[in-house]
Amino acid sequence: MKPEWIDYAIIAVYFIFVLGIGFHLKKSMKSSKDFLQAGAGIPGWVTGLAFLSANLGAIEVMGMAANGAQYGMMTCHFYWLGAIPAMVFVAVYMMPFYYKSNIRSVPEYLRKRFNEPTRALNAISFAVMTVLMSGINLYAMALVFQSMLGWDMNFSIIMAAVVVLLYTITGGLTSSIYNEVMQFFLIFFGLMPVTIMGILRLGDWEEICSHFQNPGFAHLWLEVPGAKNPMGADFLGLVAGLGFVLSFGYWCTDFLVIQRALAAKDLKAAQMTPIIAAFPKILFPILTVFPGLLAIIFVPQLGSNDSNYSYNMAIPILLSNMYPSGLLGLGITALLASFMSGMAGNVTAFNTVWTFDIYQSYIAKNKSDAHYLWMGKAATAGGILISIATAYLVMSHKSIMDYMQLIFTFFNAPLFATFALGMFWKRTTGAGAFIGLLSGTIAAAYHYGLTYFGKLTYRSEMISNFHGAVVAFTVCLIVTVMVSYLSKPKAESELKGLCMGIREGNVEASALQKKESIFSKPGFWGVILLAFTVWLNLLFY
Amino acid sequence: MLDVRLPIGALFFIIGIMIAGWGYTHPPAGSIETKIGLLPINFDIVWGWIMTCFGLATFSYARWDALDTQEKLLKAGTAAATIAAEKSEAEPGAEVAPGAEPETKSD
Repeated sequence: MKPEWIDYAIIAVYFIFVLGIGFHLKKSMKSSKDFLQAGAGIPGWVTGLAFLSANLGAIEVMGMAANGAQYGMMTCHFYWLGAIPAMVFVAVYMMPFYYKSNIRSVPEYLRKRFNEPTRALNAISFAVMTVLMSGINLYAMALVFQSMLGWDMNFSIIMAAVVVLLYTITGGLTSSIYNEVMQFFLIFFGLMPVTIMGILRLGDWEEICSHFQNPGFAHLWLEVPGAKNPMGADFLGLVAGLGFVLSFGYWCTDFLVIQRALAAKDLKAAQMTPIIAAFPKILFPILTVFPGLLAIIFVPQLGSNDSNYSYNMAIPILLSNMYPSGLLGLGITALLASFMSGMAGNVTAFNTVWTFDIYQSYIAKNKSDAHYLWMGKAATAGGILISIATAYLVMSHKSIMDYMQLIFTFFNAPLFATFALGMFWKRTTGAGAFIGLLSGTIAAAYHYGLTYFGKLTYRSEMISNFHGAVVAFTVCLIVTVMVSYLSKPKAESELKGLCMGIREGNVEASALQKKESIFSKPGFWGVILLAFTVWLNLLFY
Repeated sequence: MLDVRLPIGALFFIIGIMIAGWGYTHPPAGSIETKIGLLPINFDIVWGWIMTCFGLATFSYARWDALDTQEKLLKAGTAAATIAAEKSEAEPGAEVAPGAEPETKSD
């Protein structure tokens, strides 16, 4: 189906609204706090959907559908093993430390808990990671423009970058969060018809499964023993690599998602942010993985050497083949919204970390707030410019998802060990955290080098990343513990609100918390989420 | 600060109308393919109306919520003013709450 004028008109209306929100919020951006932290006064349901949507960029929509077409139902492990348990954990156990320590960014927590060098290392590695991730979204957006609208790749990249620049530089984090919420609903309405039309055409789940040549394609765990599945996944890689290190590393330490929760109006709203996000997240395979399964049935040549039929094109091909004009415009808009919001999320996290954790801390201390507001805007423009360069880097990778997991292996996997020890073991020292984090990152790079030069082989790039994450985490954990025993820990009085097991003396607050209804407790909803996740794993074993 | 439900409601209302309108003026060539044959459904019209209703409901809820909050604030303001006026009557010279206008009695 070729786009008609109505499809372009729908895209244009969306752009008008996106830019309109940015310009409307411009007058509220009076300080660096307004611009970079959204004034910390947004309701829980808004931050909850933004928390989910910041992760709902190109990776989720195009990447998960691509994986669905390539690996089948096992892709759901990225949700039911690799997301929900970690989201519950960050809500119940980690968010109180983040929120109560009154920090503006994740690296700032590391400064309070450990020391300046650990913060600097994390701030720099996070800044690099966000612009790399931002490039993925930009590339995916240009791919859609090129394949569905026939636009030139270079022109598409520049145009998409300009739109994101305009709305983030005017409305800051608030504009990014608002657009993420809008995008959540657009993704739902834009992709749901694919699922509905697919079910109408093929019938129920059993009939859909009958179209798969390999029966294991419809299962989560059936072919994991012996790693005889298309992903080549084994128990260690899946459970320890994806289910523990990569997943907890991302959801518990990545400032991109934590920043959304920190913008909430109070601790309760901040804790409920990941919980609210987890409920739609658990059902998102219906909109992402399921279309991937449909794509491999309807377009059997998907995954062939022809670049027009790469797995990454699963969703754009389905939209072009199934949607009539009008709905096609909505589908393209949903994809664009997803990429723009994924990119804006990374850029707004980048500008905060750059301004507060690098520029204000090491380059220009004690300047006026207006100066830091200006720097935040300059960092936004700078981040987008670097993202344009990194968009071309992504093109050298066959799968968006593999590239993304590789980035996480380098940066998030060792960082999770640092955070876990820092928050739950008061003996962890600054020297231990710094040397451990550095060693974990070097170990990840060494592991990647071994696989890149063929000294170490795995069944797939994805499994190589899972194992790399386990290596990086383990090295960071062991080195941090060893160095911590050899160095002097901080006094307990300096760790109040930063580490578990340190008494804060706030008896009244905890007594009040005990009187609250069970329905307002994140732990209660966490148990429901985990029970539902276990049930889904059993259902699609 | 802008209530995000307003632009979301307006956007979905407008796009829904556009899609449904296109569906009415351009009947699809094949309709929806199903296991038992072609379903005579114009998906543009169905989905367009669903989106329009969602947009309208979201926008109306946000407006109703804003009016409700305003009403509550007004009531709270009147109550505060009444309390302040009673207090100033009982204790002449007592301070009036900021923003609260004491009731003036007219004979």
